[in-house]
Amino acid sequence: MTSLPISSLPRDERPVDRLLTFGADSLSDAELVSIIIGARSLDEGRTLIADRGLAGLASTDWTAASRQGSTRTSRAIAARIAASVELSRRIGRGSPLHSAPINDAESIARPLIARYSHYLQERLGCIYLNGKNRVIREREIYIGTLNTATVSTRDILRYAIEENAVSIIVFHNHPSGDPAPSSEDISFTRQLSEASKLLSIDLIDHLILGADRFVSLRQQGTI
Amino acid sequence: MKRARRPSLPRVVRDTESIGRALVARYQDDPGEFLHVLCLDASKRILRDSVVPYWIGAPRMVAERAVRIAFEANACILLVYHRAPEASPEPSPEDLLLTRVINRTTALLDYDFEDHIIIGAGRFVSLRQRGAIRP
Repeated sequence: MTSLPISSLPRDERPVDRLLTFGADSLSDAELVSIIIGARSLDEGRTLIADRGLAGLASTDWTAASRQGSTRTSRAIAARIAASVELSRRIGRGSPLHSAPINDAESIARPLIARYSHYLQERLGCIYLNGKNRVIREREIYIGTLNTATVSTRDILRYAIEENAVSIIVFHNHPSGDPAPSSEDISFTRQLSEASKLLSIDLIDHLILGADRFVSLRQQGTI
Repeated sequence: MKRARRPSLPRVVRDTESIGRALVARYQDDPGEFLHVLCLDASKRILRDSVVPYWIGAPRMVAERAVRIAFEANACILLVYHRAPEASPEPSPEDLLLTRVINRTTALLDYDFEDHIIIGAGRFVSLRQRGAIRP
């Protein structure tokens, strides 16, 4: 395969120039990767994305890869990706989640989507809030398979009692990318809503996270 | 005056008969009324035997307290027992109501509700055997 060096491309096709002209959000994944790793040809970025996909890129342990790299260059490249993946995680996490009181589903769902959309298994977590709607604690409670997670209201609520939470927000991701609630999602939410009422804990919402959208089961009327 | 040591409970709840008899042996000479929750793990080993304080209250509050104890004990099966205020262990309408409420509460929280046993007059009544606990 011939791989054309970036320096031989016309100026308006080079990733860095395209970023300067059109902005970072108009670049393809492969172009972004090739900028980060300082690729000499576009194919380097393309193969990385083609081999793993964006989700694979996020879930690969790049720290280990950079330790095991056979050459200095391959170690440096893996380290750059490790650093940028970690940075994006922190940006996703450094959300209003832990500072301001939580008032709407949108502000809490967006950062969660950033963190959960690349997982290939269902994960269910819970955010525990105090009386002023501030986050006491966030916990991941279950990791399931590709499309199922066996969950129990007991485990979600026992931590609420341990943390003295007044209200909770439950969330889980759909690895398919489609946040439409399944019938199990709805029956589980109904059960959780009743169970938390018994313990005088307020179930504020259950958010289902898709690839770039989310569904709030409160807005949707299940709670 | 030194009291004789009371017989202890078995480590595992095998069946209604054996736990019922053990409860009678242990508590028949105790004075007063009380309600306990027996917290069991998945193989029905007894993790904790706790008094539910102030059990004469709204059934909902009694169920909530029992469940809180189970949370702390990290149990997954609950067995509730109480000593009848009058000598006879025959269940009163209040006992049946309490059983229904506990059954519902435990079901909502994914606990198994093993039984509600009433002890009195040297014998016991299992509300599960009486058909008061339904899935």
